[in-house]
Amino acid sequence: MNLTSKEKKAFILPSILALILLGLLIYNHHTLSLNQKIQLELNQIQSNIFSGQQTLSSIQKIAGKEKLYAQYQLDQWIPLFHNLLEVKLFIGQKVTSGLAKVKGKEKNLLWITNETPKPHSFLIGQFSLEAIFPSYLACQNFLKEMESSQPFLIPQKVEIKKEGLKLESLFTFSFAFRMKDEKV
Amino acid sequence: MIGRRKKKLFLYLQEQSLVGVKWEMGKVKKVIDTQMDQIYPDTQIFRGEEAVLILDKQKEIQHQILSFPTPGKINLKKLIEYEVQSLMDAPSSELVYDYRFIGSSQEEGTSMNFYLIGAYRRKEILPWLEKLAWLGLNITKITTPLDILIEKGRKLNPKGGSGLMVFEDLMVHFLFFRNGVYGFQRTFELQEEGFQKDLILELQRSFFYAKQKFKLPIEKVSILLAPEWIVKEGKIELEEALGVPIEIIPPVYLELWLPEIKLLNTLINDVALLPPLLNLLPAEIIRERGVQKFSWALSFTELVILGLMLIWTYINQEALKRDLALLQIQNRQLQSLQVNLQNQQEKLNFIRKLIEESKIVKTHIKEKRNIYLVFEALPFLIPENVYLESITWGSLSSEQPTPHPPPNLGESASNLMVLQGKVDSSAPEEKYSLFFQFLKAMESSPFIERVNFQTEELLSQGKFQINAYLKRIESNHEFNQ
Repeated sequence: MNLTSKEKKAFILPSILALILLGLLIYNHHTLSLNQKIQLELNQIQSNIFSGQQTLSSIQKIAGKEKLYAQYQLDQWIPLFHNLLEVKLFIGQKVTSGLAKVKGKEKNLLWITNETPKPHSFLIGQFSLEAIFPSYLACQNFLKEMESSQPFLIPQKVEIKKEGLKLESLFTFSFAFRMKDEKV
Repeated sequence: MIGRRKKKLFLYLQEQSLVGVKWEMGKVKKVIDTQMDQIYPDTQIFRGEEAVLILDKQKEIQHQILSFPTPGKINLKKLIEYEVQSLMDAPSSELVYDYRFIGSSQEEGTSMNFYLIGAYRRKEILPWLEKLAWLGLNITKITTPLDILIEKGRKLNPKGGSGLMVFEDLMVHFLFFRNGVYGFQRTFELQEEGFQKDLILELQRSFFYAKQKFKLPIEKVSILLAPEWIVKEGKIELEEALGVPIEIIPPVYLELWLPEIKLLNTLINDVALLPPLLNLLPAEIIRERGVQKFSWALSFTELVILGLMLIWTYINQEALKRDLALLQIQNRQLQSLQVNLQNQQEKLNFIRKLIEESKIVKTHIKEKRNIYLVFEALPFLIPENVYLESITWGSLSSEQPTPHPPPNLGESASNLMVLQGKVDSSAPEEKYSLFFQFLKAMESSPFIERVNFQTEELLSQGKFQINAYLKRIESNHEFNQ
């Protein structure tokens, strides 16, 4: 069947509208799929934000204990030295200052053994100290000072003998320390 | 469809003369009265109004009555096409025709259906339609005066033989109906002088013809568009001459608003006649009209869908905008959180390092003996007149061998404290008493696990030795909890 020109003209408007509708349909389909992608992305981001916030909250909880852990900082308890001489100087100074506080007198300070490696990456050194104290109280305070002040010395042996009015004593202490290159 | 409209435009084309009237709620107004040769392509006076055309061209338009037995297995369309081609002596492609059922009757004992056919040659009528299109008219139906009169006669629904007489100036149309079914039609012209006698004569001829052909006498005659003389005295004369009752049916000539539209008055007076009439509009034009109506309906539907689609598009667009904005906000929030986490991560790493360090420190602190506490407590345990000469703790001195080695050799080095002293008293009882007082105080001390002693020289020289096995003193650190 051949269409007349009037019939052809009659189909122009519906055809144009159909094309517009088709275009809109395709556009909306595209928009919808884009929206779906965005929704997925949003869900992903929200999940990330949630887990991030949880992590942050956990970190903040842990950070609250920072002070607690800070007081056990390794440097305060097991100091770091560059070489053995520094260690000996440090020990000498600690002992001298401790004796001076109690009016004790150093007779001999002897480095007994070199450091022994410990499993937790620090070293232990041992030394002996001969000293004279004016009283038992002075001797006792010196021991307390050595054992309590940071970094502390660990007494291995204590010998106290009465010699006239004074007390002669012999201590063996061990001392934990770290070397920068972990070697002597 | 046309019958339901309140406004209608009717055109009456007789030879070259065109008259158009607008019918509105029973009132009639002439809108055009012209000659067809006065119409040119630029004479558009209408704006696409729909109009019904009554084509009064007796030479060009042919009518025929066809009868077919009922019920009959006949292909009516093909039969009519064949009849039309015979009638017009032309192939159907050159013709425009239409047919309609006009009634049924018993013919020699057989029931017959009667159909009215109208036909014309395309080339003779289409130029007229083109000219009418120049006026800006949209012709929706073409019919003929004969068809209108046949329908009018049918609607009178007469019993037996009847006649319908219609006056149109000097022309008189006489239609014969048998039991309401159209039989034949005659048109005759009345002369100026003695026209009444001529009329009676012509009618008598028609009566005779009807009786002869249809074997049915005419029992009643109806007159349409009756002129004044018929209304006054002609009616009685005719009744006397013909011997049948005569009825004048409206409209009568005197009451016509527009006498010049002649037979069109019949239709205007009764617009309900229009729907069943033949439509001699060319098929392609009818199809075009159908296509245009379909196109408008389709366009309207599409416009509605387009509107809905635009709303949907707007909603989608808004949702997309909102989601994009939300996405940007959440992205920024996530980035900020990630920066914060990065900063916190450094802190976390530092804390982790501290925790690791604190574990090492903890191990180290566990090594601590707190032996100074024992030395602090010891003076409070010694009674008066008891003096200590030496205290040894830790690795045993070679000068002070222990006569009774501890059961657990592993703990001896760090747990054994050897105390050597003297009781300053001359009385042996007091010596023992003070020594055991001291020993008892040692035993009950919280940091001593057990003790043993040597008192060989206690009685003679007042000297004694106590070996005290110490408990381990743990540091009570928050860290250890």
